[in-house]
Amino acid sequence: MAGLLAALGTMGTMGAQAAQFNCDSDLPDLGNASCATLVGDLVPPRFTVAYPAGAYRIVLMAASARYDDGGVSGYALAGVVPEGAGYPDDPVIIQFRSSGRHDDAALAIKEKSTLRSAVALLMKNLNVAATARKHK
Amino acid sequence: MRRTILAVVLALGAGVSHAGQFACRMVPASDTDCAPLIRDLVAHEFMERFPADRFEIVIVGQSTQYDDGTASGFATVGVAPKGKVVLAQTLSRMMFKLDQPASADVVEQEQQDTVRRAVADSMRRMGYRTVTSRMITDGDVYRTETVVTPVSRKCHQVKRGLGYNDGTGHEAWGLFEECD
Repeated sequence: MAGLLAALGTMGTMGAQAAQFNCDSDLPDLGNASCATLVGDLVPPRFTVAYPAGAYRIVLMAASARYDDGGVSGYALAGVVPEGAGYPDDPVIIQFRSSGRHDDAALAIKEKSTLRSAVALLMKNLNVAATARKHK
Repeated sequence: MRRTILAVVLALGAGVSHAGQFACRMVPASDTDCAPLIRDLVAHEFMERFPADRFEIVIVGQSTQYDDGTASGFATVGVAPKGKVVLAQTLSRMMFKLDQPASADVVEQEQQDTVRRAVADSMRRMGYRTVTSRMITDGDVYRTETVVTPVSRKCHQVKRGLGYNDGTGHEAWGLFEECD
Protein backbone atom coordinates (compact mmCIF):
# COMPACT_ATOMS: atom_id res chain seq x y z
CA MET A 1 0.00 0.00 0.00
CA ALA A 2 2.74 2.41 0.98
CA GLY A 3 4.51 1.84 -2.29
CA LEU A 4 1.47 2.58 -4.31
CA LEU A 5 0.68 5.66 -2.29
CA ALA A 6 4.20 6.84 -2.83
CA ALA A 7 3.93 6.12 -6.50
CA LEU A 8 0.89 8.31 -6.67
CA GLY A 9 3.23 11.01 -5.57
CA THR A 10 2.51 14.63 -5.17
CA MET A 11 -0.31 16.88 -5.97
CA GLY A 12 0.20 18.75 -9.18
CA THR A 13 -1.64 21.60 -10.71
CA MET A 14 -2.65 21.36 -14.28
CA GLY A 15 -4.25 24.26 -15.96
CA ALA A 16 -6.54 23.04 -18.67
CA GLN A 17 -7.23 26.48 -20.05
CA ALA A 18 -7.18 25.19 -23.59
CA ALA A 19 -10.21 23.07 -22.85
CA GLN A 20 -12.05 26.16 -21.62
CA PHE A 21 -12.12 25.02 -18.06
CA ASN A 22 -9.53 25.13 -15.33
CA CYS A 23 -8.67 22.05 -13.41
CA ASP A 24 -6.50 20.88 -10.52
CA SER A 25 -5.69 17.23 -10.19
CA ASP A 26 -3.57 15.15 -7.85
CA LEU A 27 -2.88 12.48 -10.43
CA PRO A 28 0.79 13.09 -11.28
CA ASP A 29 0.95 10.14 -13.61
CA LEU A 30 -1.01 12.18 -16.09
CA GLY A 31 2.30 13.89 -16.74
CA ASN A 32 2.00 16.91 -18.95
CA ALA A 33 -1.39 15.93 -20.17
CA SER A 34 -4.08 18.31 -19.11
CA CYS A 35 -7.21 17.46 -17.24
CA ALA A 36 -8.94 17.84 -20.55
CA THR A 37 -7.30 14.64 -21.70
CA LEU A 38 -8.93 12.70 -18.92
CA VAL A 39 -12.31 14.33 -18.49
CA GLY A 40 -12.64 16.94 -21.23
CA ASP A 41 -15.21 14.92 -23.13
CA LEU A 42 -17.39 14.88 -20.01
CA VAL A 43 -17.43 18.65 -19.62
CA PRO A 44 -20.18 20.07 -21.85
CA PRO A 45 -20.40 23.61 -23.18
CA ARG A 46 -23.18 24.32 -20.67
CA PHE A 47 -20.64 23.88 -17.89
CA THR A 48 -18.14 26.29 -19.34
CA VAL A 49 -20.89 28.86 -19.80
CA ALA A 50 -22.14 28.49 -16.22
CA TYR A 51 -18.66 28.14 -14.70
CA PRO A 52 -16.27 30.11 -16.90
CA ALA A 53 -12.58 29.41 -16.77
CA GLY A 54 -10.80 32.04 -14.76
CA ALA A 55 -13.68 32.27 -12.30
CA TYR A 56 -14.09 28.59 -11.47
CA ARG A 57 -12.08 25.43 -11.64
CA ILE A 58 -12.68 21.72 -11.35
CA VAL A 59 -10.87 19.93 -8.55
CA LEU A 60 -10.11 16.27 -9.05
CA MET A 61 -8.57 13.86 -6.56
CA ALA A 62 -8.08 10.12 -6.70
CA ALA A 63 -6.07 7.50 -4.91
CA SER A 64 -6.09 3.78 -4.29
CA ALA A 65 -4.36 1.25 -2.11
CA ARG A 66 -3.48 -2.40 -2.47
CA TYR A 67 -3.50 -4.57 0.63
CA ASP A 68 -1.23 -7.39 1.67
CA ASP A 69 -4.12 -9.80 1.96
CA GLY A 70 -5.25 -9.04 -1.58
CA GLY A 71 -7.84 -6.60 -2.67
CA VAL A 72 -7.81 -2.92 -3.33
CA SER A 73 -9.77 0.13 -2.36
CA GLY A 74 -9.77 3.67 -3.58
CA TYR A 75 -11.74 6.78 -4.26
CA ALA A 76 -12.22 9.60 -6.68
CA LEU A 77 -13.42 13.11 -5.93
CA ALA A 78 -14.68 15.81 -8.25
CA GLY A 79 -15.95 19.25 -7.41
CA VAL A 80 -16.18 22.81 -8.64
CA VAL A 81 -14.85 25.78 -6.72
CA PRO A 82 -14.58 29.49 -7.38
CA GLU A 83 -10.99 30.49 -8.02
CA GLY A 84 -9.34 31.16 -4.68
CA ALA A 85 -11.68 28.91 -2.74
CA GLY A 86 -9.34 25.95 -2.34
CA TYR A 87 -11.52 22.87 -2.08
CA PRO A 88 -15.22 22.24 -2.63
CA ASP A 89 -17.37 21.84 0.47
CA ASP A 90 -19.66 19.34 -1.17
CA PRO A 91 -17.79 17.33 -3.79
CA VAL A 92 -18.84 14.14 -5.52
CA ILE A 93 -16.94 11.25 -3.95
CA ILE A 94 -17.06 7.72 -5.32
CA GLN A 95 -15.34 4.92 -3.44
CA PHE A 96 -14.47 1.54 -4.88
CA ARG A 97 -13.07 -1.70 -3.57
CA SER A 98 -12.36 -5.10 -4.94
CA SER A 99 -11.14 -8.37 -3.55
CA GLY A 100 -9.41 -9.17 -6.82
CA ARG A 101 -5.73 -8.61 -7.41
CA HIS A 102 -4.74 -5.62 -9.49
CA ASP A 103 -1.34 -4.67 -10.81
CA ASP A 104 -0.32 -1.01 -10.85
CA ALA A 105 -1.54 -0.46 -14.36
CA ALA A 106 -4.94 -1.99 -13.68
CA LEU A 107 -5.30 0.07 -10.53
CA ALA A 108 -4.42 3.27 -12.35
CA ILE A 109 -7.06 2.49 -14.94
CA LYS A 110 -9.58 1.82 -12.19
CA GLU A 111 -8.75 5.15 -10.53
CA LYS A 112 -9.18 7.07 -13.74
CA SER A 113 -12.42 5.36 -14.67
CA THR A 114 -13.77 6.14 -11.19
CA LEU A 115 -12.64 9.71 -11.60
CA ARG A 116 -14.48 9.94 -14.89
CA SER A 117 -17.59 8.56 -13.20
CA ALA A 118 -17.26 11.21 -10.49
CA VAL A 119 -16.97 13.98 -13.08
CA ALA A 120 -19.97 12.64 -15.00
CA LEU A 121 -21.99 12.60 -11.78
CA LEU A 122 -20.77 16.09 -10.92
CA MET A 123 -21.98 17.41 -14.27
CA LYS A 124 -25.32 15.72 -13.71
CA ASN A 125 -25.61 17.21 -10.21
CA LEU A 126 -24.79 20.64 -11.57
CA ASN A 127 -27.50 20.13 -14.13
CA VAL A 128 -25.16 20.84 -16.99
CA ALA A 129 -24.73 17.32 -18.33
CA ALA A 130 -25.11 17.02 -22.05
CA THR A 131 -28.53 15.72 -23.02
CA ALA A 132 -28.41 12.42 -24.81
CA ARG A 133 -29.97 12.41 -28.23
CA LYS A 134 -32.98 10.23 -28.70
CA HIS A 135 -32.79 7.82 -31.58
CA LYS A 136 -36.00 6.65 -33.11
CA MET B 1 -28.13 0.17 -1.29
CA ARG B 2 -25.04 1.21 0.54
CA ARG B 3 -24.74 3.66 3.33
CA THR B 4 -22.25 6.42 3.24
CA ILE B 5 -20.91 7.69 6.49
CA LEU B 6 -19.19 11.00 6.35
CA ALA B 7 -16.07 11.28 8.39
CA VAL B 8 -16.96 12.06 11.93
CA VAL B 9 -14.95 15.13 12.23
CA LEU B 10 -15.93 16.98 9.13
CA ALA B 11 -15.66 20.62 9.75
CA LEU B 12 -14.33 24.00 9.13
CA GLY B 13 -12.76 24.94 12.39
CA ALA B 14 -9.79 26.32 14.19
CA GLY B 15 -8.01 24.37 16.86
CA VAL B 16 -6.43 26.01 19.81
CA SER B 17 -3.49 24.23 21.34
CA HIS B 18 -1.38 25.09 24.36
CA ALA B 19 1.26 26.92 22.42
CA GLY B 20 -0.61 28.23 19.44
CA GLN B 21 -3.34 27.77 16.93
CA PHE B 22 -3.93 25.87 13.77
CA ALA B 23 -6.81 25.86 11.33
CA CYS B 24 -8.27 22.68 9.92
CA ARG B 25 -10.95 22.02 7.41
CA MET B 26 -12.77 18.87 6.40
CA VAL B 27 -13.98 18.07 2.91
CA PRO B 28 -16.89 17.41 2.61
CA ALA B 29 -17.76 20.12 5.11
CA SER B 30 -19.81 19.59 8.23
CA ASP B 31 -20.58 21.34 11.46
CA THR B 32 -18.31 19.18 13.58
CA ASP B 33 -14.98 20.60 14.65
CA CYS B 34 -12.01 18.63 13.32
CA ALA B 35 -9.49 20.22 15.67
CA PRO B 36 -10.03 17.99 18.73
CA LEU B 37 -9.31 14.87 16.72
CA ILE B 38 -5.87 15.96 15.55
CA ARG B 39 -4.74 18.58 18.06
CA ASP B 40 -2.21 16.31 19.76
CA LEU B 41 -0.62 15.50 16.40
CA VAL B 42 0.07 19.08 15.38
CA ALA B 43 3.55 20.20 16.34
CA HIS B 44 3.92 23.56 18.01
CA GLU B 45 6.64 24.38 15.52
CA PHE B 46 4.12 23.68 12.77
CA MET B 47 1.83 26.38 14.13
CA GLU B 48 4.66 28.87 14.01
CA ARG B 49 5.63 27.89 10.49
CA PHE B 50 2.05 27.76 9.17
CA PRO B 51 0.05 30.42 11.01
CA ALA B 52 -3.67 29.74 11.30
CA ASP B 53 -4.66 32.95 9.56
CA ARG B 54 -2.82 31.97 6.38
CA PHE B 55 -2.74 28.18 6.27
CA GLU B 56 -5.09 25.33 7.02
CA ILE B 57 -4.83 21.59 7.35
CA VAL B 58 -7.17 20.14 4.74
CA ILE B 59 -8.62 16.74 5.54
CA VAL B 60 -10.51 15.04 2.74
CA GLY B 61 -12.14 11.94 4.09
CA GLN B 62 -15.10 9.62 3.95
CA SER B 63 -16.00 6.07 4.82
CA THR B 64 -18.60 3.85 3.25
CA GLN B 65 -20.32 0.86 4.78
CA TYR B 66 -21.69 -1.67 2.35
CA ASP B 67 -24.77 -3.88 2.44
CA ASP B 68 -22.84 -6.81 3.86
CA GLY B 69 -21.54 -4.73 6.76
CA THR B 70 -17.99 -4.41 5.46
CA ALA B 71 -16.56 -0.97 4.93
CA SER B 72 -13.81 1.08 3.42
CA GLY B 73 -12.65 4.63 3.84
CA PHE B 74 -9.88 7.07 3.18
CA ALA B 75 -8.28 10.27 4.36
CA THR B 76 -6.16 12.60 2.28
CA VAL B 77 -4.44 15.26 4.33
CA GLY B 78 -2.22 18.18 3.52
CA VAL B 79 -1.47 21.79 4.33
CA ALA B 80 -2.83 24.45 2.03
CA PRO B 81 -2.47 28.20 1.93
CA LYS B 82 -6.04 29.39 2.48
CA GLY B 83 -7.91 29.33 -0.81
CA LYS B 84 -5.26 27.23 -2.54
CA VAL B 85 -4.61 23.54 -3.11
CA VAL B 86 -2.52 21.45 -0.76
CA LEU B 87 1.25 21.89 -0.81
CA ALA B 88 2.64 18.79 -2.50
CA GLN B 89 5.31 18.06 0.09
CA THR B 90 2.70 17.90 2.85
CA LEU B 91 0.29 15.51 1.15
CA SER B 92 -0.49 12.15 2.75
CA ARG B 93 -3.07 9.55 1.80
CA MET B 94 -4.31 6.75 4.02
CA MET B 95 -7.02 4.16 3.51
CA PHE B 96 -8.68 1.31 5.30
CA LYS B 97 -10.99 -1.55 4.51
CA LEU B 98 -12.87 -3.83 6.85
CA ASP B 99 -13.49 -7.26 5.33
CA GLN B 100 -15.69 -8.42 8.18
CA PRO B 101 -19.06 -6.91 9.03
CA ALA B 102 -18.60 -4.12 11.52
CA SER B 103 -20.80 -1.80 13.53
CA ALA B 104 -21.15 1.84 12.62
CA ASP B 105 -19.13 2.73 15.71
CA VAL B 106 -16.24 0.56 14.59
CA VAL B 107 -16.30 2.09 11.12
CA GLU B 108 -16.38 5.55 12.63
CA GLN B 109 -13.43 4.75 14.87
CA GLU B 110 -11.51 3.31 11.92
CA GLN B 111 -12.18 6.48 9.95
CA GLN B 112 -10.95 8.64 12.79
CA ASP B 113 -7.81 6.52 13.09
CA THR B 114 -7.25 6.87 9.35
CA VAL B 115 -7.51 10.64 9.57
CA ARG B 116 -5.05 10.67 12.46
CA ARG B 117 -2.61 8.40 10.60
CA ALA B 118 -2.72 10.73 7.60
CA VAL B 119 -2.17 13.82 9.76
CA ALA B 120 0.75 12.15 11.56
CA ASP B 121 2.24 11.12 8.23
CA SER B 122 1.79 14.62 6.84
CA MET B 123 3.60 16.01 9.89
CA ARG B 124 6.39 13.51 9.32
CA ARG B 125 6.72 14.65 5.72
CA MET B 126 7.16 18.18 6.99
CA GLY B 127 9.94 17.13 9.31
CA TYR B 128 8.08 16.54 12.54
CA ARG B 129 8.07 13.23 14.31
CA THR B 130 5.20 11.73 16.22
CA VAL B 131 6.24 9.86 19.32
CA THR B 132 3.72 7.70 21.09
CA SER B 133 4.52 6.96 24.70
CA ARG B 134 2.75 4.16 26.48
CA MET B 135 2.39 3.94 30.20
CA ILE B 136 1.69 0.37 31.21
CA THR B 137 0.16 -1.02 34.36
CA ASP B 138 -0.36 -4.69 35.20
CA GLY B 139 0.51 -5.62 31.66
CA ASP B 140 -2.27 -3.56 30.15
CA VAL B 141 -1.95 -0.36 28.31
CA TYR B 142 -3.17 2.26 30.69
CA ARG B 143 -2.73 5.39 28.73
CA THR B 144 -1.12 6.63 25.57
CA GLU B 145 0.36 9.98 24.92
CA THR B 146 1.42 11.45 21.66
CA VAL B 147 4.13 14.00 21.35
CA VAL B 148 5.00 15.73 18.12
CA THR B 149 8.45 17.18 17.88
CA PRO B 150 10.86 18.20 15.11
CA VAL B 151 13.07 15.37 13.85
CA SER B 152 16.10 17.47 14.65
CA ARG B 153 15.55 16.93 18.35
CA LYS B 154 17.22 14.05 20.11
CA CYS B 155 14.85 11.68 21.88
CA HIS B 156 15.51 8.81 24.24
CA GLN B 157 13.43 6.30 26.14
CA VAL B 158 13.08 6.47 29.88
CA LYS B 159 11.31 4.15 32.28
CA ARG B 160 9.22 6.06 34.73
CA GLY B 161 7.20 4.85 37.69
CA LEU B 162 4.12 6.45 39.08
CA GLY B 163 2.36 5.70 42.38
CA TYR B 164 -1.38 5.85 42.85
CA ASN B 165 -3.43 6.97 45.80
CA ASP B 166 -6.33 4.79 44.80
CA GLY B 167 -5.98 2.37 47.69
CA THR B 168 -4.93 -0.52 45.46
CA GLY B 169 -1.25 -0.11 46.10
CA HIS B 170 -0.66 -0.56 42.42
CA GLU B 171 2.21 1.24 40.89
CA ALA B 172 2.10 2.09 37.25
CA TRP B 173 5.18 2.25 35.16
CA GLY B 174 5.87 2.90 31.57
CA LEU B 175 8.36 3.61 28.89
CA PHE B 176 8.32 7.22 27.87
CA GLU B 177 10.19 8.86 25.09
CA GLU B 178 11.55 12.22 26.08
CA CYS B 179 13.04 14.72 23.72
CA ASP B 180 15.63 17.40 24.38
